[in-house]
Parts: sequence; C-alpha cells; structure tokens
Amino acid sequence: MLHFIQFEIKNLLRSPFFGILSILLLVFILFAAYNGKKRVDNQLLAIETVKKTEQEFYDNHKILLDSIEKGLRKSPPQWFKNPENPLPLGAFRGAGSYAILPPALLSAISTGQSDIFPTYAKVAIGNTNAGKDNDNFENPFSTAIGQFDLAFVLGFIFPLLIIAFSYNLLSAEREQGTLRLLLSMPLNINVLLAKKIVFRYLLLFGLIIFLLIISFLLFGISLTNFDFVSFILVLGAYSFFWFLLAFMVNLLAKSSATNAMILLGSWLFFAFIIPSTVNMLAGSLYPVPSRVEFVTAQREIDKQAETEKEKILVDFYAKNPQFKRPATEGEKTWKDWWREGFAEDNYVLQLKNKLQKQYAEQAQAQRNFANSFQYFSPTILFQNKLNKIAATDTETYLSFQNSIEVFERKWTAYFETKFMKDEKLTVKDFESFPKYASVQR
Amino acid sequence: MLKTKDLSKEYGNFVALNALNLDIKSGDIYCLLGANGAGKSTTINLFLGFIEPTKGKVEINNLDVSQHPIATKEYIAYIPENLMLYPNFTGLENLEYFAGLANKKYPKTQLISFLQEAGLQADAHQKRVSAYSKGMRQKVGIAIALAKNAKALLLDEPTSGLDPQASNEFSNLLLQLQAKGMATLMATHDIFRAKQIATHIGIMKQGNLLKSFKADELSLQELENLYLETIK
Repeated sequence: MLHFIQFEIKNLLRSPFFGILSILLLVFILFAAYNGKKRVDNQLLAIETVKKTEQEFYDNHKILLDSIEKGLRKSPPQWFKNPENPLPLGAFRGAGSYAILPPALLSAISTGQSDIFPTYAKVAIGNTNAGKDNDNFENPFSTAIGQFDLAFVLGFIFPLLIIAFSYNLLSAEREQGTLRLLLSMPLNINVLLAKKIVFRYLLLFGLIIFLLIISFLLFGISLTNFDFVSFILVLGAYSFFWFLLAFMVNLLAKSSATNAMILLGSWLFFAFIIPSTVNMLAGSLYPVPSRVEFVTAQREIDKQAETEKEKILVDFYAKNPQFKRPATEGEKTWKDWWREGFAEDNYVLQLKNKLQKQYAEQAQAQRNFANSFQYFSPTILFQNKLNKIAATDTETYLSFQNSIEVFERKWTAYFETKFMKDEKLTVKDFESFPKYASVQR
Repeated sequence: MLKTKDLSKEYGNFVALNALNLDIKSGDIYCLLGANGAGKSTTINLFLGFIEPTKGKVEINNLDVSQHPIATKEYIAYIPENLMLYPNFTGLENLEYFAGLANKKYPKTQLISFLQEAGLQADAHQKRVSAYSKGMRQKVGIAIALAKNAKALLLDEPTSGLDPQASNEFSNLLLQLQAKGMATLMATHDIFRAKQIATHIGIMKQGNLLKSFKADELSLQELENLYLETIK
C-alpha cells in the first residue's frame, strides 16, 4: 500500500495539473474566506453601532431623570422630552431596544439568507414590522448572482476540481496504453481503481482542510469549535459523493471525453437543474403573494382602520370608560391622542398579524416543498447544511423574527401599561426595561 | 505451463479461434505465425483473461484462467506489440511500480540488476520513459517479467517496428530466459526471428492452427514456403 501511495504522490507531483489545482483552490478559498469574514465584520460593526446608539440614548435619559429626581433639574416642559414620561422612552424619537442576532462562530462560511434577512431590529411601540424589513440591503446585484463565499467554492467549484482530478483514472490508462500491462498483473483492476479514488479523495480532502485551516487562521475565523468539526464532516461527506460518482463513471470503461461529459452533466444536473427546477415548481405550486401585493394589502388594512376609526374608538371607550372625556372638558390632550392611537394600532396589528400569518404560511409551504427535494441534490443538501452550521439558514432567521415579536409584545406591554396607568418612570425602572433574550444559534 | 484444450472463441457467427490445443512447457518458445486476423492475438488475450473463451479451457501452470483470473497472472508476463509505460516515471520507477503490483518488493540494487539483465543501458535507468525508444521499453517489459519471477512469457508481435539490432538483442534476451526455463508464447509475423529462437512453431489461419511442428524440423526456406502455402 505504501508503495502504491508513493507512486501516486510522485505521479501527481510530476504533473503540473496538481500544482495548478492547489493554487486555484488556495486562491478561491482565501478569497471566499476573506469575503465571508468581511461580511461578518460588517455585521458586527453595524451591531456595535446600534448597541452604542441605544446605550447612549438610555444613558442620557437616565442621567437627566436622575437629576430631575434629585431636584437638580426641572422636568422639561415639553412632554415628549420628559424622561418621566414612558412614551419618549418606549415609543419614539430614538427610543427602542435592538433585538440582535449576532453572527455564529462560522457565519463567515456561508452567506445563506443573511443578505435578505436583517440581523438586528429596533423594537419600539408602534414598530410593527421590526425584523421583517431589512434596512441594510446588500447590493441587489450581489444578491441576484450570489456571493463568492466558502459555501459557493466548496459546493459548486470544488466538485469541478474533483471531477478534473478523477474523471480519467482508468480511461487515461487505456488511452496512454498502460492498461493492458496493468491488466496482466495479478490484481483486480476495480480494486486498483478504488484505491486510486480513495487516495485522491484523502489527498484532496486533506489539502482542502489544510487550506481552510490556513485561511481561517489568516482571517481570524474560529476553528476550535464543534461547528468546525461539523463543517469538515459535511464537506467530507459531500466530496465523498462526487468521488463515488467519479468512481462509478470510471467503472463504465468509457473514454476520458465521455467520462468528462457524464460527470460535468451530473454536476450541471445536481448543482443547477434540480435546484432551479425545484424552485420553479415551488413557485408555481405554492405561490407566495408578491411583496407589492403584500404591502398593498397592509395599506388596505390601514385604510380600513381609518374608515372604522369611529367604531374602534367606541369599542375602546366601552372597555376603558375611565379614559372617556366628558364633552365639557374641551379639546383632546396628547394623552387622549395617544390612547386612541394605541387602540387603532392594536386593531391594525391584529389584522396585519393575520395577513402576515397567511403570507408566512404560504412561504413556509413553498420552503417545505423545496426542502423535500433537497435529498435529490447533494449540492442543495450541502448548501443547507452549511447554512445551518453558519446559522444563516431561513429557520434561524424565522426564529429570530419570532423572538422579536415576543420581545415587541413585552416592550409594548411594559411602556403602554405604564402610560395607560399614568405612571411616571423612575431611574429604578431602567433596570426593569424588557431585555431581548437572544435566539439560540 | 501454458495449455489450451479445444479452445474456441466466437463473436456471433465469426469464429476467431477454433478448437485450439496447445501445450507449451517450461523452456519452450512457441511462435505462432499467421496473417492478421488468424487468431494469434486472440489466443494471447485468452491466456491473459482479457476475453472469455466460448468453448474449451485455458490453463496456466495447471490453473484454469477463467476460474483463477488473478492467481494465473502471477505466473505470466506480457509484452504487447507496443509496450507503454508511465511517461512521467523513469524506467527504474516503472519497474518498481509494476513489481509492486505483482506483490514483489526489491531493493533498488536488485531492480537495477533486473534492468541490466534485460539489457537496458545504465544511463537510461534514471531517465523518464517518455524519452525511451520502443526497444528500451521492451527491455523494461522483460525486466518486469524478471522481477515478477514469471514462469511464462506472452509476447504479441514484440519485434514489429524494432530495428534489426534491437530485434536481435530482444531475441537474445528470449533465449537467455529460455535457458532459465521460461515458457514463451510469441505471436509474430517475423518468420526469420521465429526460426531463430523458437523451439516450436504453429501456423494459424482464420482461427485454426493448421500446422504445428518443431522449429528444427524445417529450414528457414522450407518454413517460409510452408507458411506462404498455408496462409494462401
């Protein structure tokens, strides 16, 4: 066996192909890892910035409130600047707390859905769409053509290198005339072919792990964690599939050109035809309303609320008679406007939630359909697994959205209740403001 | 060592080989003469197990090739008309690789002595095979046979395309191997070489072995006449 390995290594080292392949892989991996790291660094920077803004906002108000409580300053005459008022701290003018989905240890390996879904969202009373609209859009062109990340290099380019490395193991022997001599040796040619494939698999897999470790160390991506092990195992299984396919095609004993055609055709089939067909089918069988239709429907709800305003307020005052102003008391105060505003918002929120639920259910049905086909394409499966490891998969973002909704309800309940009860905020209250419980990555 | 019993090979209606009986013993050099398509290469391919017989049996060292396709190859070495080796490797490295495939491991000095015995000049041992002539590659083929410790040699027109000197050197090598007890089956068009080295000669036509005799029974001229008459 050692003799065979020595021969194979010598053979590869003397072929310029192996050197070119290694350099190409190195360049691709370094570039992809750099891209991934840059993307994650940008996310971290954005997160850091919003956290700082939030911190400054509440620190300033806390200091102001503290001086008011100690009698060092008077309450600001404008109600919307008064930190004793729950609304300025819970609803507007920079108020709100950020729900943040920090990048996972290996987020750099796969962009996944991170260019579509936001990784942080500001939660404040009335901000009913937090976490669903991404105000940090990527360049739409990049989103359309996909990112040059490690998932792309390993999922799409790496199989091509495997094919280039293994398509002609037996046919080349035939074409260069050594096959007859090989066949006259006391050996099973299929076993020899299997040895050659296994050797190339181990060599290429070892090379790629080495290159990944180098690039991770270079760009400071964590590799001493369980996620890295999972990443390597998934990569090992994925490359094994392509080598196994190459082995079976070699067994057909066709010419090198035919082998190359079959393998490239398979690559095209698994990496492009199946995914695009599944997407097309999912889109036709489970159509999700367009974004424009969705926004239009939301506006219709706003309109509906406007026309039903009177009824909404009648209902609100029927349930909360203490807020009903006698007609003799003159014009409405800002508090009346806000209470009525909350009543309208709650009505709108219920309808919008219903609409969003329908939209989300259709989108989920589409995803479920597409996911049920992932086992037909190792490339889709590989991409999904990498997204999962990088925590850039749809499920992670959806659970982030759900956690934002929970946080939104807590936040709204806290400040709205204080406002409705006409309670003043104290410095002590700052400690009990609802905190976002981060989603488990 | 090399034996066939009523060996036939048919491709549909075409009979490539018809009821061939051969018995080549250690130290024999059996030359098969015949025009193209006479069945010479088919016979060799059947010994190598590259094709399955339609009828009859092929035996190497009393082992049926069909039943023991790998074990029988331990006893044979094969040199095709145009022996090709790995061009990125030297003659020595090729020898080491093929010896290894035959489960034979030798120190470098021993491998060099095989190449020397096969007549490959010392300065060629470390040169890549891509720079070798056909004759030099044939010599590596003989060295592989020596390293395999083969008991029988299957040669498919090994001297075609060789210059007279290389052809003569090759013939001498075969005679040296014969002296060591090697059984050789050689398919050839070269009546002169056949007469020079063979112990036995067979003349084939359209899959049939029409004549089989000891080489010393006929002079070169008589052999040529018989050959021309037979294949007419």
